[in-house]
Amino acid sequence: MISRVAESLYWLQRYVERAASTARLMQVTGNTLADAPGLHTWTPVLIVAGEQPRFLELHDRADQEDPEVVQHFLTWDERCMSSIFCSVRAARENARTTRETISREVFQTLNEAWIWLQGPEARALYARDREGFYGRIRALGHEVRGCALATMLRDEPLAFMELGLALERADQTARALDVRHHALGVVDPTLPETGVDMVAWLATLLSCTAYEGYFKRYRGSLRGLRVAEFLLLDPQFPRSVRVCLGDAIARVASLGAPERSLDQLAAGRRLQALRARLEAGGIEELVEEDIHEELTILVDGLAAAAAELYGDFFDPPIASAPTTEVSQ
Amino acid sequence: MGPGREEEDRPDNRTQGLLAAYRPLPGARDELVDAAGAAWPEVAGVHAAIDALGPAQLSERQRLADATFHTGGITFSVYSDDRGVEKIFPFDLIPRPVSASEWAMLDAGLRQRVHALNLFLADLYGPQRVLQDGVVPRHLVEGSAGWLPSLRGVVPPHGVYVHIAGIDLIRDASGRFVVLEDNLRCPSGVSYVLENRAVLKRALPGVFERGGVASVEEYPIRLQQALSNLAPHGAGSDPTAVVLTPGPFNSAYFEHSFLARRMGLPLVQGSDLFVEDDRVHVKTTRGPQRVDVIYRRIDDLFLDPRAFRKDSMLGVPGLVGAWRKGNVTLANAPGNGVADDKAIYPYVPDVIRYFTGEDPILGQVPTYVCERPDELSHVLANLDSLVVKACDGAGGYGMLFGPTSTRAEQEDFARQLRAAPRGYIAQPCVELSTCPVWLDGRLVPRRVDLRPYVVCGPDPWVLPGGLTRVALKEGSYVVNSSQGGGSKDTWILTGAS
Repeated sequence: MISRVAESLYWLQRYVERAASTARLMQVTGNTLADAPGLHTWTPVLIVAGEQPRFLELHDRADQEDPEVVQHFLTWDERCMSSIFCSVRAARENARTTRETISREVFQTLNEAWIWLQGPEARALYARDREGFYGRIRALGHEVRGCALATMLRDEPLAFMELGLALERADQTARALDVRHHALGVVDPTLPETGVDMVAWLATLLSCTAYEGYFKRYRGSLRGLRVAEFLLLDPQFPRSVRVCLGDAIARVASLGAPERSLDQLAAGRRLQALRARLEAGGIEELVEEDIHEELTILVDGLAAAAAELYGDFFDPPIASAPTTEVSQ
Repeated sequence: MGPGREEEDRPDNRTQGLLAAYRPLPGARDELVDAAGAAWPEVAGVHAAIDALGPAQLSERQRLADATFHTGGITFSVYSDDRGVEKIFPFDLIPRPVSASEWAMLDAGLRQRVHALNLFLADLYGPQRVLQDGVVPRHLVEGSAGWLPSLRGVVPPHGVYVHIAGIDLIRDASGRFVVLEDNLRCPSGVSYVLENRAVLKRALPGVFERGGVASVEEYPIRLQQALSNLAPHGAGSDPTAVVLTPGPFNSAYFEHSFLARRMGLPLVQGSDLFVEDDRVHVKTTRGPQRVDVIYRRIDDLFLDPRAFRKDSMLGVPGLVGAWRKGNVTLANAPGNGVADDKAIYPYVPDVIRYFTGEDPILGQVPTYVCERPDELSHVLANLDSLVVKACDGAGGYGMLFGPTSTRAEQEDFARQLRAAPRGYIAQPCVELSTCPVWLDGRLVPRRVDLRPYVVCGPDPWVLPGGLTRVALKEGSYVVNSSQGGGSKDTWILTGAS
């Protein structure tokens, strides 16, 4: 398929997922504060969104712990590139410029959401029922993907969207774990966990939609180590970094085949290495090594793999050698 | 027998419904009713269906239709507005019918005209017999902004120049359809023909149930087949075709994307293509892929910075070279603008006779060519009653509408005419036909035109439908969307209801 279109589809799904993840983080952080007053939770949200520098350009340092200011910034501010508003706008613009490739249903879902988000109804809902507003944005993530899966050919365009989804989810899960680090510091697994710890771990689970999955797996035992293990390594939780890496690797492999193997693709090599590193150390080791550092390596590795998709697919070097004769 | 008795004997098609009080504008032919407000017999069924609608229902349906355009993203960008501003093309719910017998005549006339214009272009860029025989003055051709002399001698694949034509028709006061202008380059608007129909079906579902309206759904299939049929001879049995757009900020981007989607073809921008060894390739995730056919919606001069405008960022370097070599089909062919030049238009009836040996089926509007001294003086003496048009103007720009113009505007145009007479033509003001429009809770007459679409692949085929544009401003004769025009669904009646 056309390289430019592939890139747009990949970003379309990433932006949709980013908007949904941000909405979930806003919901959970708000709820957490209600249970653990005094815990600094909004600053970490800004940090892991990568938007703290931009925020401080526009606001006072003290505003970092003002829930209304931070929420407004990460929801509506057009000067914040990862705000929900900007993410939905970018997703919709990518959809508009790939309408011939995505299905009519996918476009219409995003277009209606974008019209809604610009209008008075969305503002009113935000003011009246914050939970409902963020719920609507989260639902958009499911709607877009559900539409795509149900209406698009299981072909390259869908594979690039799914690749975007897998990488964005891996990234968001790693960042969600890191929020905790910024809020509470290094985890010492030998010490008993405090009430605040428990609240924070619950928040981490919730912000990854992992609450129910975790308790199905570990039956009523909430331990920080297990939460980290579940989010990083669980082989069945759909947002665990391991599952997302596996999905991404499978997509890259299918998109390169049959001409290029995973090892002939830069992103393929990097994603496999990231997964191997993750699987090699057990969770206990990971935590002792300082999970924050490990997560930083992971997030940087994901960014590097995303950049390598350009050379692999979106903007490959044009060899003046023979070209694929498809039209024979 | 007095006049009163005659009135009683006449079959009365007037009703007490929505159209009861509707009357056409004085002096104009209406598409639905005669001067007394009675339905024309050929379209009486449509008249009755509209008449039966309730005002509250219509207003509600109009809102539904507008919302459907918004949520469907059926929009165009306006150049004068900020980037990213998208508007909907105003749509009026009341359909514009064309009777089966009139359509049969239009269909034949359009096929004849486009066939002849194709032969005309092949001759102009080839042997130029039509110039040698004095049918069309050579200097008019050579002075046309659309004439690309560097392309002379190139024969496009299968000899087809006009793959898609949009011929603008108007109905004059006598009820006759005449050609107002030809669009042989990148005629736009066909996506609205299909979308208007889809929206109207949703908004007025009952009205279609009786049938008798020709389907427009065939268009993308016909276009795709034509593009495929007209691929270069070496392209093989399954040629690769793409749609080339200037990009998402172009006002017609929706249409480019719509046609690509409905034909199942990739939509590409200039930067997605490159030319090597006079062959066109598209950059794909699996490396370069050969392209055989390009339905391009970029103007001639922007197609290829090596061939024409050096500053074009939209085009593809080397594209015209690849076309010259016969390695790619460009639809439409470059250089067509000479044949739809407004100064050439007066000669088209002779062109039809010359190339087909037949009389033209469709009439056209009498036209003064300002370049001829005697016609120029007539035009200058009658600026207050004529319509003056710049030959290279489009979209309702560069036009003087005499009857409603001010003295100052007339003087301004007189100066321009004397300075550059080749650049202008003038026509008498045609009383465009009217059609009812739903505005502010009632039906009012507004002027309309009709743009049918002809696809040559290679034989001409006419889409049974077309874009009816309507001047929504009271008293206006200008139907262009850039000048406050809207559109309607056009119903070609099959006579089978």
